[in-house]
Amino acid sequence: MNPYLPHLATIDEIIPETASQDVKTFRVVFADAAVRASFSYEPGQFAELSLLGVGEAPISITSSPTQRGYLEFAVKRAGVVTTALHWSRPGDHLGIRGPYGNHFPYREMEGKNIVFIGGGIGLAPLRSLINYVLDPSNRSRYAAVSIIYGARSPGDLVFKWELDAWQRRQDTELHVTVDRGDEGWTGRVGFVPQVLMDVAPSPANTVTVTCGPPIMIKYVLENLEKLGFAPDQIVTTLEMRMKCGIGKCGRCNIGSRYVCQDGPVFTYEQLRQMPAEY
Amino acid sequence: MRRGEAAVAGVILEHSELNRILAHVAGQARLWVATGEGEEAAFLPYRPGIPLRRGPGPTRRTAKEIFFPRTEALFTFHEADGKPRLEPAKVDDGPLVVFGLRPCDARALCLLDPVFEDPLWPDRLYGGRRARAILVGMACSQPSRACFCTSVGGDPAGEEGLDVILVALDDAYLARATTDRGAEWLEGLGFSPAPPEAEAAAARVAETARRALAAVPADGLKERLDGRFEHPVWDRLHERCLGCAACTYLCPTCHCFDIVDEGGPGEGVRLRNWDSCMFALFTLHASGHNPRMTGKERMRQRIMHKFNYYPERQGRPACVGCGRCVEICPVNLDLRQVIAELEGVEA
Amino acid sequence: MSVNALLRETAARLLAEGTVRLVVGWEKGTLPLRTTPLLARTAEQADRLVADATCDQNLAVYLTRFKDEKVALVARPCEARTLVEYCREHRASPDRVLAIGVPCTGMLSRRALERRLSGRLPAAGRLEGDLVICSGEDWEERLPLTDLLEPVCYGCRLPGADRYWRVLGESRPPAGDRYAELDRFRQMAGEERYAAFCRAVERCIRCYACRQACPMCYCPECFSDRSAPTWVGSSDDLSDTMVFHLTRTLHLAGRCVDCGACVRACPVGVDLRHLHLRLGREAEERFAYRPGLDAADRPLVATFRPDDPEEFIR
Repeated sequence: MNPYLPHLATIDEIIPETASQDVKTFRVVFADAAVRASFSYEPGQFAELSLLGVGEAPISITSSPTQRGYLEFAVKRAGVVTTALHWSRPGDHLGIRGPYGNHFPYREMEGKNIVFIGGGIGLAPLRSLINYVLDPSNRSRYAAVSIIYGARSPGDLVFKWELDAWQRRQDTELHVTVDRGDEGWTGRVGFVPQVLMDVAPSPANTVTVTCGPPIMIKYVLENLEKLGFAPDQIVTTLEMRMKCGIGKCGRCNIGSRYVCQDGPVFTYEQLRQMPAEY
Repeated sequence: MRRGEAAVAGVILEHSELNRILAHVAGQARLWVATGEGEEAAFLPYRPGIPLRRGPGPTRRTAKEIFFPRTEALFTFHEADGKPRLEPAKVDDGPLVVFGLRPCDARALCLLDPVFEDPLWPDRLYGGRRARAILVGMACSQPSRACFCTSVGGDPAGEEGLDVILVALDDAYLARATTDRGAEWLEGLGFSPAPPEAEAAAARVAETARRALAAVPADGLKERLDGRFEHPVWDRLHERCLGCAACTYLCPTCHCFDIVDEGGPGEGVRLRNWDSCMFALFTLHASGHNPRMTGKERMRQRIMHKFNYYPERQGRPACVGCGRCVEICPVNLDLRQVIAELEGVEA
Repeated sequence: MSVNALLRETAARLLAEGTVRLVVGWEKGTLPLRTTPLLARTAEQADRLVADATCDQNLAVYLTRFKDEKVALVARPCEARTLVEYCREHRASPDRVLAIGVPCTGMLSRRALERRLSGRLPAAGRLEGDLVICSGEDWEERLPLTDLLEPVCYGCRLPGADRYWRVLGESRPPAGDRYAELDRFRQMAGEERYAAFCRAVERCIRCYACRQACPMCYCPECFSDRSAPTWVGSSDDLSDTMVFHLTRTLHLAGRCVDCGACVRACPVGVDLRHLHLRLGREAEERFAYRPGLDAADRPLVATFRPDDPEEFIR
């Protein structure tokens, strides 16, 4: 087999997320009906998105496996491929390889409380699991769900259209915060790690799943320890420059692990035993 | 794949017959031969009269290039009726013979196999070439001054990965099949059985080569490196390194690559090109963040990958002691010395 | 006192007195007749310094890494010329870099030696006066060094003594026409020249040893590594490889100090010195500019002078 050959897909919808439009969500549909039917993934996995003639970039799948018929990717404009993606329009073609990597331990999390802690675009990988857990077919298997999400400014919040839906749910607790507010902002102002201390979730029978900028992660980890969370109760997902996605190209090594295969999801317990090279 | 019989009788191949045989083989399979001397020594497609390599140690360019070339198309694409079409690269799994590789190069391919042919994501572009390849090796009668294969589990007359091994005697080669495939191939060429004294002479050649090899303290290196990621030894090891990829590109076990597109949106190709952990941009994220910021982290990655990470996954080091990196480093930053320095490292 | 003894003493004193934090020099290497850069920080380490015909890296390349330290650089004419360009391009200043001038009579060419030994790799080797003595298990050769010098050494240009902080001995490079190699190349017919260029470029594996060994290739991000936009492809495509080498040559126009470090660094024998020589000769003949030598305060390509010869304009 040629593991580098992507499936072709079409962009169905492009949703601008941030005020500056540096993040957009792409809803894509596989061109081939057979692929549409057979492509399955689990929350936390990623795919290599490509534009033919431009190149590939690893992007986490932000839709949930419970959403059928399409995939969603939230893409921040940064490099060559993501910039070109931002220029594309509904109906344009792209290539998708995957899914790759491990996934969030959603089976092991059954029966437990879950605290999601996200910052900026870091909500994208978490969202796959959030919507999986909140799906009517799964919700009863999990205990309390709370989400702490923050961004630099109100304009930097992503998935605002969905935050409202989560807010309305009785079975979910949502805390949205921004580092700096603006005239229109009536919500909470403060850094995510501080909001975490305000919310002060109990570590009893609880798992936290966190993703965000390195500086946020650093203080979130510190504060979770203060709240009494053990390292194996903390799950995170890493961003690396993965090229092949299948453990061959040698780029995403952290120690003997390949983030593209052994990750991107790691517990803090695992991370502590790995070299700090990410 | 190894031969069933315990002791396999060798056959004698006269020097004068070699060209006739190679021409015959080239008629049946794609044939690569070790040719050229010094910095020009490489594997090239056979053509009549091509000078076969004689020199000491391995070729400058490795045999990995035959199976994992510096540039390779993964697929081509073109647009038709407003829709993209992909044409996967043809898997090249025809008969292939590589003649004259050293045991270290054959062993290196065995170290690349689990990377490219792991059960989950087998890479048929590599695997196809490997599938029917017959590797006809030439035992090292004269190791290079930089060779240290026996220190990392190899041998100048090692058979791992080879289908046939040749030992150069005074006026002929002793050829011995080491796999069923090799035996079949050798039988098809029809040689006379070797007299017992040829076997003894071959054993002496191997023994002489073994004695000529220097020892490098690589034993137990994996364990010594466990937990030494933050050791101060790394602060100095890299200082002379220029940050080029000569060592990794000419290493028979290095396999890092990049995937890039060439051409426009209408028509083009997706390529895989060699890449190197020694390049500053190798791990640079689009965001500007780089997990391996300086030469220190990059040198550490190269050494750790060979002697700690790869052994962790595959049970043995990703180094065959061919000495190429030693010989070609522009600043003579010698891997043997690095290994020796790591031996003295305290917790 | 021998040059090595003088050098070690000088370096040790500079380090012991705290005049510099680091001495960049060479020490004996691990292969016969080779040296390796030594970054000495203590007087004890400085005791390993050597300077002889086997020193064949251009040490100035390390200066761009130690931008904030006061450094002593063991300098032959190659390094001294580089320092002149570094001063001009504000990469180093004489107050930060003390150049310890060591005498040079030409570098031993590893390639010339290999050719001369026709495939035999010496297991041991040493210099004895003007002799290169090397041996294998059952052979020994005693060869005159003057027959085995690097091509760049012929007609080497010596910067003035004022370019060094101290001079430990006089350099006497072999006489010769430094453009001889270029003239040979230029005498070939056009197709021959192109074929020779193709043959050289075809060998290139894009490991960038040439670029990394070159003291004048110090761009933080080389054009060949840029991806937004991509200036040159990274595959084995011949025209891309040509573009890499030709662009690098152009970027070194009027800057190349002709130390030959790029040629010696190449693991597969690509030698494009004649390209650099060609542009070097243009710089000299059209603009009376000799990189690494003259005290002009502006780089060639950043300069306009009404009295430039400019013969090409007529």
